[in-house]
Amino acid sequence: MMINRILLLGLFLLGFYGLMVQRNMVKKVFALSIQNSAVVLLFILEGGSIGSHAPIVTEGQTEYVDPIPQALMLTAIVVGICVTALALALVYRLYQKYETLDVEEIQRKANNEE
Amino acid sequence: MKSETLILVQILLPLVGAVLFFIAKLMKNQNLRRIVEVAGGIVGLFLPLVILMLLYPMVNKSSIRFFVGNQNPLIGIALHFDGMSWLLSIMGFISASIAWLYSRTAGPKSQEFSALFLIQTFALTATASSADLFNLFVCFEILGIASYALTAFSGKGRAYMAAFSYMAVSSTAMAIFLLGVFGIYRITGSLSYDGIARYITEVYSEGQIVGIGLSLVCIVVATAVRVAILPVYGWLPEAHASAPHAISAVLSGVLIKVPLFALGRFLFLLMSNVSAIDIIFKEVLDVLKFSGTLTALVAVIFALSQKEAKRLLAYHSVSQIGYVVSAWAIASPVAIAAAWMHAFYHALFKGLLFLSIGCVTDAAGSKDVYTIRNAYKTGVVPTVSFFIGALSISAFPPFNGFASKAAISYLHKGSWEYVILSLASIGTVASMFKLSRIFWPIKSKEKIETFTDNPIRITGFWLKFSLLFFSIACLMTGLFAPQIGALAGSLVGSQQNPVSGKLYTFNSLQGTILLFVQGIALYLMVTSPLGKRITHSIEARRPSFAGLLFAFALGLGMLGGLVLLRH
Repeated sequence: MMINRILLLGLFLLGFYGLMVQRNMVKKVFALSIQNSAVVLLFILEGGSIGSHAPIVTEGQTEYVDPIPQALMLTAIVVGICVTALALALVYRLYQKYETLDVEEIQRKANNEE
Repeated sequence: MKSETLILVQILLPLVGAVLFFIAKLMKNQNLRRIVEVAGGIVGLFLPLVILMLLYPMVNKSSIRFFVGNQNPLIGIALHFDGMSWLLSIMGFISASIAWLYSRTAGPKSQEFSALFLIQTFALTATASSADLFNLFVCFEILGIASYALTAFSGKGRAYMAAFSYMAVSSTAMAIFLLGVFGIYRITGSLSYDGIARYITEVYSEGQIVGIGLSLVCIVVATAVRVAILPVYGWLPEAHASAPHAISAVLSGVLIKVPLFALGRFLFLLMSNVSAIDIIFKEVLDVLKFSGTLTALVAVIFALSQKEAKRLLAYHSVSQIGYVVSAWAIASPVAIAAAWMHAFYHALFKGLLFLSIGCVTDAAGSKDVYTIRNAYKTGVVPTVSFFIGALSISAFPPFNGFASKAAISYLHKGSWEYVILSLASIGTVASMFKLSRIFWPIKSKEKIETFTDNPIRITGFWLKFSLLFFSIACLMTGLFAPQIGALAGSLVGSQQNPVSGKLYTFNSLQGTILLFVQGIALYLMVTSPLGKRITHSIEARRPSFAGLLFAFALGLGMLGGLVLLRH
């Protein structure tokens, strides 16, 4: 169990590192998505720790996992998709405007635009 | 109609308005399209105000709790409409409806803009009455996504970049927020505020106390990003400076405050049930009070150094939210009422400043406070509006900022916060003096002399209407501050009015004159050669993309470290 959590922390930090350090805007969007996935996976992992079956209640079935984290994560995934879509749209517009995906170059050009 | 139904209708009407705007977009007949658009505006922004008036007597008696659609508490969406929800909703709808009217003249006029604007307003009012941590997360995300898109609506490259930075830091914060929600759910087995409050009194084990403390830190720091206080305010100035003016007014006026008060509804409810975790709550609030007070001063120094008019105003928003947080973190009902008053008054005067400066800079074709002069030639309404806004933010009686800043100062009397906030007030006066230069009838030393040869008069009914509305509101809410204070106090459960009955005394007038003299002296220091050199070096600083995320990680690490070290 512990190794899973450490791996998920690693995944989250990988996303955070990518978002902070990568200069390519598209890679930054990927990193954002990885961060989100790490949190979603943590919820599913922890929610699944008390049972072993899918939360479909049938007769005699008691060993099902906590359904709440799964239901919540469906919403979180949808929100994540919206954020990714909007982020990519913004990156596309920035590319159209400045013809580069390098964040530092874009920031420099945007500051000069003022 | 039942109160529950009225609350739901009030929350959902902006969404109906948004749908009407999307329908209008599909219409080919121009007259019909205009009718549907007007209907969308009325339904989405003005009808909810009427409903809020109907709800006032009900909410004044007691708060209203229910599950949407009478669902089972385990899966239903818990709503809790209390006095604070009413106050936040009324602030949101007043600011949003007037800013939207402004956009009818000044743009953007597209249906997509209005629809997104209404979705953002929906999220604002839903956040205000949310009583479930996950629901709060969803509301924050809708609020966020709508505001990132609206920031980018001006179509400028820097607006796209500002929206992207805002989104990156805010989405990271929301992932951490979700971790906090998870931590609390894992320990308490509940997501609703009431469920968590019930369980929290039974928590005694050291591990669980630290677990809840760390989860709380995740939620608080993530919310602080939205509220924009030190050290996580870096995204705000660029986003608010590059957004369309109507959006800047709402973002600065309402959007940064609603998450703070929504967090307060959760924190203060938990604190009212005495538990072993109270000590962590108090420590976290102390850190927020410290950070808020410092924000008020640091941001005003940055504001004083800016040369771009809207960026100067954006830094002022950060500074004013510092005042609000410093009062809010005291966590007593009277302090929360005072914090709300300043938040509401700030929504009015900052709305006025953004809208008036926005139309003047558009007419000038420049945003530089050093090159625009003679802006009084744009017309009486923008000029008078600007000065009313500037006097309000500088706490000049009888305008509203005077009353709310007096209420906050009274709370801090005798403490170090009082000294810092007084210094910040001097900075505010000095920077407003600097900004007001664009209206002065003098020649600029720089090359461009806007408005000297071809004066452009600002026209447009809705533009002038919105400026006049905010101007009159700044004056009236100042004159009737004791009554508004009493209303806010009674709605948040305070026995005491945050505004003193003896507001306009000889002593307070003396204080104001002294403040103005100090402000002008500071302005003269800033415009001296040495002052200019210092302000230029501060102005040239721009937070880098990585810096924004680093500041967030630093804030999270420091507050988390504090909780771990102390327990």
